[in-house]
Amino acid sequence: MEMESMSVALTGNPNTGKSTIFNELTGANQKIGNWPGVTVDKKVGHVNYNGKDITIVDLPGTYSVSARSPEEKIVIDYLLENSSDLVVDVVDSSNIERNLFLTVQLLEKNIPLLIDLNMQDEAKRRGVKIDVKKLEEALGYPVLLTIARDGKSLKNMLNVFTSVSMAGYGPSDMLKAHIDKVKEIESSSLSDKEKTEKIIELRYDFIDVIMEKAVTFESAGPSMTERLDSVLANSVLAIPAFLAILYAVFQITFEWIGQPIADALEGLITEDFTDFVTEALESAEVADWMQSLIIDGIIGGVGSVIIFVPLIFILFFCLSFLDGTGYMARVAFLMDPVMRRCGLSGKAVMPLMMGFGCGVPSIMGARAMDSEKDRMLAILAAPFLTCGAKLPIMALFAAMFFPEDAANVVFAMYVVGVVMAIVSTKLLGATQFKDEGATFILELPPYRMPDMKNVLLETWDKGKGYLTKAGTIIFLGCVIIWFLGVFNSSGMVEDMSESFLASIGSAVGALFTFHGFGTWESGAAIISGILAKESVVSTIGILYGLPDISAEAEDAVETAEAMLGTGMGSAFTTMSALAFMVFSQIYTPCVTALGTIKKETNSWKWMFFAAGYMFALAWVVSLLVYQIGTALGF
Amino acid sequence: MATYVVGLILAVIFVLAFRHVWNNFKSGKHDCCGCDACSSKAESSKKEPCHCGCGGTK
Repeated sequence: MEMESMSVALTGNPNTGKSTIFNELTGANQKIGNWPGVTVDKKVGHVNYNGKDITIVDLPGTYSVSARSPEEKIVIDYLLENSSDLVVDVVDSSNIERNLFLTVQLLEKNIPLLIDLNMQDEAKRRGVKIDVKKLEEALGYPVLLTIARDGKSLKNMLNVFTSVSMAGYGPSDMLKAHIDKVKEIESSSLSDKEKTEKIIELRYDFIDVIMEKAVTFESAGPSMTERLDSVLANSVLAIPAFLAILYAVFQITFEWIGQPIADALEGLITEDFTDFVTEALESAEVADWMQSLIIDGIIGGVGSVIIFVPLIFILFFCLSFLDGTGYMARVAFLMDPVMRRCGLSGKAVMPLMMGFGCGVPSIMGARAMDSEKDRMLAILAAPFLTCGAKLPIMALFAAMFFPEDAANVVFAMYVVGVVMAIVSTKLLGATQFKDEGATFILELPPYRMPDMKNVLLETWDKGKGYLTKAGTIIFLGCVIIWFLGVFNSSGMVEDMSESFLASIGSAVGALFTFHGFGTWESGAAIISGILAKESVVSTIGILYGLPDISAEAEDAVETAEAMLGTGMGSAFTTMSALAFMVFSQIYTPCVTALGTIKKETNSWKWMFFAAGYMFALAWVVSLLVYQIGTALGF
Repeated sequence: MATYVVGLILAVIFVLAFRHVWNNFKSGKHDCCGCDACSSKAESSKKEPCHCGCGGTK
């Protein structure tokens, strides 16, 4: 028997919980963020309930439907061109007055709505009381109360979806009178600007009447958001608070939790797993060269990347958690003046922040920019940020050469990335893209305790990609690097310095003679990093071997001593290691990011420009770091 | 003999890894953004581009 089907469209202001409702109902895993504008395109999902196949469409959040921005256009086009059985207007109950502006606009366009007063818990905390019956009477349409994360609430929502008949509802007399007045103004001889102003005024008057009838406010004192913002968004304390929060995130990742787990995992790989595989291969009498491929090439290479998985997951967890609390929107707000001084709209902050996960979505996210200038500047700034793939490079060098200050040094590298993105934007903004930027309006969402399920899912999504890369492109890179490292034109070589890889690496390494890391091994690692940034670490793992972290190494200093015992320890000094970190932070993005730049700019010129410009900038900055540092006696 | 068996296993893994990278390249998908977890049960996952912001497809 064929299941009866129906379609439901979710619309509403940004950050009212539409995507949470969509995910909870459909079991999908769309990105949730406690900041406006997470959803930039419509999404479709399904749920079967009470014998009905319900298609749910999650529309991007919008403040109005005047079709000025791409999001508004998507919403109004969808609602007018598609005949959904039900259109649900998801309203943030704690902010009902502002949300009603969109509701009224939709009703003016004769779109029958089921009004979902979401975030009831937050409204209660803020002392907002809504009389559902009076609201229904005032508008003439059904009203539903929900808390998006509450299972019972959503079950009730599905019950309403499958039982409500919109045919029984229509505009109230009050709404009809309002719509008539709007039509009257629209057909008047006033100018377009005057018409718009009059209609907006009319809408606010109508909303005032509704608010008076159906909504009461109880004095609840300053809300948690107001109390937190008095510190976190305070003009004096905001920046120190931001730096303190970031510092705590780095301490958690690199000192308190992440590094001890990474060290334990390293011990497991370098000792137990490697010994086990070596014994198994020897007892099976596998040829020596094959043993070398597996132990030195694959375990040495892929293993050196896998070691950093705990750090990646913990860092992503912290960032996803902060995102869910609403703090990241404050960071965008804080960074807006900085962005403006660089000639970039504050709107660029959100896509750029994605760059701390991966440069690819960050470059893609620049599509949200309103002006071509802002889009290009954001695209060319994104690769400077420390993506998850650069993290292992920083973590490896910091743990080895700066064991007592590893977290601070990695933190400093993140700052280097941000500073370089700002400097580059300023530079390009002044020379290449001179037209005017666009304005930026950002609504600060209330602070919320993030839904742990969403935080964990998002952490897994980002971290899983890292694991997939370790098993695919990094694995391929390791095998290729190993072959290049043990063969030359006359066959297999005993000494890697006579291999193909040494010849290629020497040519590149020569460029870094004055940077303190002009070795062929560094050159090879730098080339492999263009394939994927993690490959820098896997190549180092193959060329120098994984350090043997014995069980006796109880702290970071002992771990570092074990690491310095490898060839890598003698190949770098503290200053040349720092210069290498700076170079890795800034230089040419990986091929995937370069391909994305080509796709987004539709220009080979800009792709090659990005590759060459970033390499040159990295070369200069790391040279300065090494030469100045050495001259100062470090 | 063991060398051939191990070599064969590695060759299979190599081919699978290469196929994954090649398919990503052809379809414009990126592992780093966690694309293939996006709306795994949603219709969009079959027909539309990845919606996580990366612009890739599934």
